[in-house]
Amino acid sequence: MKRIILLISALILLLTVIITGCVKQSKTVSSEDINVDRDRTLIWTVPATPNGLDSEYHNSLQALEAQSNMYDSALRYPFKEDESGFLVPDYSKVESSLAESWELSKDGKTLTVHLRQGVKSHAGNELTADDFMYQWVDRAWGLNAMYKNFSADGLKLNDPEKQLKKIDKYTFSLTVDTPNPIAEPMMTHIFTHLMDSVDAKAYSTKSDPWATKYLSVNGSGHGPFKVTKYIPGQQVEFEAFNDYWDKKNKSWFQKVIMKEVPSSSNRVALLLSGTADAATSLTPNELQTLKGKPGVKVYSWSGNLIQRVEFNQEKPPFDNPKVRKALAYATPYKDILSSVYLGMAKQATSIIPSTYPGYTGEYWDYKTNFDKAKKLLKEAGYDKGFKTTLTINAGITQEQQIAILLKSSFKNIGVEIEIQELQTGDYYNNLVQHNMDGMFIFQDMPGVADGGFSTKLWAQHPSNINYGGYKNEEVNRLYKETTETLDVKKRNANFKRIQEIVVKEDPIWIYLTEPGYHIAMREDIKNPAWGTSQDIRWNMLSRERN
Amino acid sequence: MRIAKYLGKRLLTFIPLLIGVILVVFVLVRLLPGDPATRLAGNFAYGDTIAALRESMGLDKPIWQQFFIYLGNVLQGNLGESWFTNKPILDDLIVRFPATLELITLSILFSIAIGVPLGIVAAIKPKSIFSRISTGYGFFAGSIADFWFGLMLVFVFFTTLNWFPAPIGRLDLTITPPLQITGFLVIDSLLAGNWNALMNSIAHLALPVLTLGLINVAPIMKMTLSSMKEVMESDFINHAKVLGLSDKKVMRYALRNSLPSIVTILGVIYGSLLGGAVLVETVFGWGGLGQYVTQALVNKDYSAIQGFVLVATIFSLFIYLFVDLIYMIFDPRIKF
Repeated sequence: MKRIILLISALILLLTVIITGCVKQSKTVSSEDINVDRDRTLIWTVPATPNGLDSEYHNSLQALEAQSNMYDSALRYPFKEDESGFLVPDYSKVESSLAESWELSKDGKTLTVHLRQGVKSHAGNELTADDFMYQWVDRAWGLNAMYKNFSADGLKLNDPEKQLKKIDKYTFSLTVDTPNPIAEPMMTHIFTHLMDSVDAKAYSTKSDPWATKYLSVNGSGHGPFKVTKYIPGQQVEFEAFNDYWDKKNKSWFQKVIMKEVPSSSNRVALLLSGTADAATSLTPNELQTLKGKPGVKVYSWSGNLIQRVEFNQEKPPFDNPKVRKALAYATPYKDILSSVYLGMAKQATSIIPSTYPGYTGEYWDYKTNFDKAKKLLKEAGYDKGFKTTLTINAGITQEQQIAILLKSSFKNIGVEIEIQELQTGDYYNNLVQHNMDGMFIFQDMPGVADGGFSTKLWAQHPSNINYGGYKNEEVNRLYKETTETLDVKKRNANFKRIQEIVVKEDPIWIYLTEPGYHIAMREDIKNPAWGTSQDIRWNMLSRERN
Repeated sequence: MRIAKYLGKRLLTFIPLLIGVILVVFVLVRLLPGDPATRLAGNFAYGDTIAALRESMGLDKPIWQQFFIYLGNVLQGNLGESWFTNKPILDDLIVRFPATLELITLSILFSIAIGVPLGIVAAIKPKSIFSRISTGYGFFAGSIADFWFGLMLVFVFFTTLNWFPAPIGRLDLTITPPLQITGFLVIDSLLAGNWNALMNSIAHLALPVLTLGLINVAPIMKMTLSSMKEVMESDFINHAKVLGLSDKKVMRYALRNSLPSIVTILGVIYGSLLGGAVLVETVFGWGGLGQYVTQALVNKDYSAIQGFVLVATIFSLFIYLFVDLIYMIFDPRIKF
């Protein structure tokens, strides 16, 4: 018995030590153990670490943010100040980035790019035209993933060996069959960034010729940050790249720690305490709560995300535009904006984001009207309504709330929906395999600020990411015309007509919201610069203490 | 000698058990919805690319062939490579296992320190206020969710009072971790003489240990209470009382006879906590095994899931073996 009492006493003693240590902790951690300057360290909390760092395969929001800070593209948009407090891209002009200069031939078919000389990669190798050739001629076609199936399409590349030419050590050209009005904007996109081919080749093996294992967890770029530690599920650490070519935009922060904090309430707590400098992916409720809290600032910008209800249009009843219109009239838009987003989102009104050139909201006129909706259903032959499913992504909290509002609202016109909630991974599995049935809520952004890019992605047929199978011959024809002319006036006229069709005449979706981009940061962090991949450029940030 | 023979026999039974577990898990993970190759390939890879990935992942082979290749590798100590961390599973587990083990070991010690004395007192003085409070607490702790309790502790002790460090893992981001020897930060910090890391790691342990510890006090206390009650009402205790033995001695007899049941529940809780602490690990960003296997499940990372289950099974088997050995110490009637 004595021994047991002794054991218990020892345990209690141990616990006392633990608790005493804890209570004193916040005051006793001395600076001697701090091997990094906290002031120059940016602690960036995210719901999940990037799913990888190779842009051929990895495109979660956190992966895009990491890649945007590790890699540079040949061209870029300059930033301009916005009243939201963000620095946002100025889409009216494109400027040089890794390219020192470039020319688009008069017929718009050949883009010649002269790379800067003396640009070093994180591995210390010089940037040359070989890097571009490796990335496109070899790796993109070898892997048959993002670059080939997404970016090449935008650049009109289908036979890179013939279309791409290395002119000299620092110059390459790209020649296509028809004029390409989006060649320059495409070259600003994160999925056309350049990598160090010498470094990548050094990690190629027989079983992994494109160094995917190496590039999934390391970087091989020329951007302002290099990755120093990648622990999936915990954190990714980046260090400012001392030899970064763009001295003007060299990072003020020496180190960035992208820390996974799965619970959004914990991200808020860390931000409020000053442990973290930024909390990303917060709920509208949390953002509202943080507004006005001392030491914290909430930034909001309309961004380029569009949230909508998509339909499987290859099967009845959604192959009938009247059914899609009827549901659009039965959607409780005001409730979604006020009770789900607490006024922090905007009504989506077009297939083109409202911040992009070519946008018009004039064709969206879907105020909730059940009588109109019932009439349309009757005309479509569904006067008794129907049953269907609504698939949502469990990773986006707002979708659950929207689904419940839609279920209750659609009941008014006799449409019964069964909500099917899928884990993010399964949701995307179904999506990319075009296996979605019925209706599904989806949000996405076009990364290139061109009126035709949204159509290319979501409305032209066939398209890999036209997940609902929307098909309208006139849209296809108008879109094709916009891709083959440099005539801005004609392109804008076509964009307008496309929006009239996909919004008003033959609606592709129920346009729900533009959720916007929101981030809460410590008040002393200045100059958030937003990129079209929903990323913040850490090299533009600084800490300004009073 | 008898113990050595018993241990040998028990260890031999581990082999068919482990093969059975490997087989069941191998088949079950492949029944999960979703294709790992599609998940790995991202949103813009189609047909040929996914087929090539499936081939490189070995998923194109018949399932029985995949199983025997996996079993062969396991027998050579190779648990495969994670498709998402691109590291050998064993390396991933070695990094994360001590984090979870440190957390659950301290939690179970905390639960014992609180639960056993509470159970004893409640059994000896069943009508006292103290006993009623203990029983009430048992019901309360048994009915609340651990992740919610963790969040509440974070809110009160970190957000509001700022007594404890931020829930961002085992150390502050600005503290250099000691060289990994055992993987237990407390021990490694002590060995390295890194006092700041020691105090900081202890501080980070406090809230998750309190969360798991206070929740698991309930079953331990209830088991101690019921077991002690039963023993206290038994003939031999009545006989001891009639003979005039002191209360202290009587209680010692009763406790010794109650211990097998208590040790059993401790073994069950400790074994289940290895994977069961996942939500608490998530709340505190612990980076342990629970978080690892959750990520593996989301990503359909077959080798990582299989590796985790294998390690968890081995851990549980050894815990139960240990429990059986302790039985023998407490109850000399048990012969092996």
